[in-house]
Amino acid sequence: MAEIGEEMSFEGFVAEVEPRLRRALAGHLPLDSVPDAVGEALAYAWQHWDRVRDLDNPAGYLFRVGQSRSRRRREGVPAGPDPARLPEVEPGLGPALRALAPQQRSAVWLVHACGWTYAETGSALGISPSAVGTHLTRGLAHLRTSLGAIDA
Amino acid sequence: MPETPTIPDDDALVLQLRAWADDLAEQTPAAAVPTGEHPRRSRVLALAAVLMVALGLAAGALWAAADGDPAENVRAGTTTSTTTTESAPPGLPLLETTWWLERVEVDGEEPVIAPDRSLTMYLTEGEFCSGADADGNLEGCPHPDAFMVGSDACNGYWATVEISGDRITARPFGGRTLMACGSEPARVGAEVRPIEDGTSTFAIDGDTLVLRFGDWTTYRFRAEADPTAPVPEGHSVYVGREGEPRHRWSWSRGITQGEDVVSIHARAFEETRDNGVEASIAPDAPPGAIAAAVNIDPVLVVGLVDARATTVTYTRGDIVVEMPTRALEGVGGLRAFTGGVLDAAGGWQLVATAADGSTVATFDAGR
Repeated sequence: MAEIGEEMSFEGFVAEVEPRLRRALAGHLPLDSVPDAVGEALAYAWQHWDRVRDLDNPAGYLFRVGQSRSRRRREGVPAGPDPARLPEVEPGLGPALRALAPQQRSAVWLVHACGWTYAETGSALGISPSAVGTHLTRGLAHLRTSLGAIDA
Repeated sequence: MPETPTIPDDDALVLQLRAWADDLAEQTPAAAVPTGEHPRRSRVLALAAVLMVALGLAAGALWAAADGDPAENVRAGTTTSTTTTESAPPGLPLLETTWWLERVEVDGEEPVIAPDRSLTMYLTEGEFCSGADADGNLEGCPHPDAFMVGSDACNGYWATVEISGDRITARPFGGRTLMACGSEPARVGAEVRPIEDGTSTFAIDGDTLVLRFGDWTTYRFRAEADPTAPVPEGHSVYVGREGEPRHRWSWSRGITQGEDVVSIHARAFEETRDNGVEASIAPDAPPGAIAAAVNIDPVLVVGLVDARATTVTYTRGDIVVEMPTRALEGVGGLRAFTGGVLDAAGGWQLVATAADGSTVATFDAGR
């Protein structure tokens, strides 16, 4: 992540943040609504650039903005991996992830699918890093139980 | 607490999650952005529109031009400024923003300033039932309108409204409480009536909402929205019942998310012919259980309950009234009930039971 300061351009900011934001929201929204959510979040960043550029974790903050402003987010995570595109991925991963409690699902997705740290994830979810760890542990346990065949 | 995951990178489950995330990210178009220095705030709207177009989004729904359809900013932030696009910052959405009244301006009179911004207005979408028949079955629903609710420091008001273009028109299904609050009502509080009864045009400029009633009266509201605050999601449902004599209403509201009840609330009030109020009960029920509102003398009961409940039983002393619950089409997690009883001076209890006789929830007066 490039340093975000007075000299950072909005273009540079988006180049850094947009891919992370898109990946994070892709696990929480139907695929066709992700561009809307990303767009709304970036528009918010554009509108409030003076404040957003000084945030410690702008991606996490904009993740919350994108989620909260998406009218369709209640539809949840995408249906699941497309077997035609990802034959090596367990098709039941989508339903199993969707069955998790929201905080567990978000923790699993942001940490393991997106590579966010506990601190970044906690900031995005409005919970402590230790709570992220708890949700993560329980979420992964539920996923392993649901999927069975996938072992560590 | 470690700052990095403790699960090994080669964990099979983690690898599959990452592969799926890679694929999803690949399928989602990346954002294009404008180049150059960030514009002055006065140019935000126009350039944000450029950003939206570049993203390939439905920009019209989000960033309407200043002379566009005002209805487009009902749900998403934009502006209805009738001056120039250049000077207008993006506005907050009309719906699901809490608007605080700052002043009322009546032509030729000194503006009325809300002393503590105590009068609020909140509009949202939902499903609305206008009443119930003699058997307690809800009728007159849904009205495909918005619902307006608000309050001042003492009383509440509510209405179903139609939003068309830049006009907000209140429907007959609405009302207000008129509780005596221990002091002379503030003039601003008394000015609620045009909002709940009238037709106004609205315009949003940044965080300011202006309602105009005719050419003479202007209500100016301001909002400070938290962009990260969750928008009420799921399905909202409002259930109302009108009693006898006139002007006796109860209503309740529930929000579901999937099959989970995430919010449930009920209120009842009574307005007699002489505009006095005999009782008003507005209990907040715990999420996921039961919400009910009960008026006194005569008694109206209306409420929402967890979908597992098939019957709600009102009990006060020897009086027992069973009210079957009714499924709400398209609404998961909630069932509605309504009924009338003859006496509820206090100490009543509602018990919701499932088909197998098990207790789903209880609700006690005075809680």
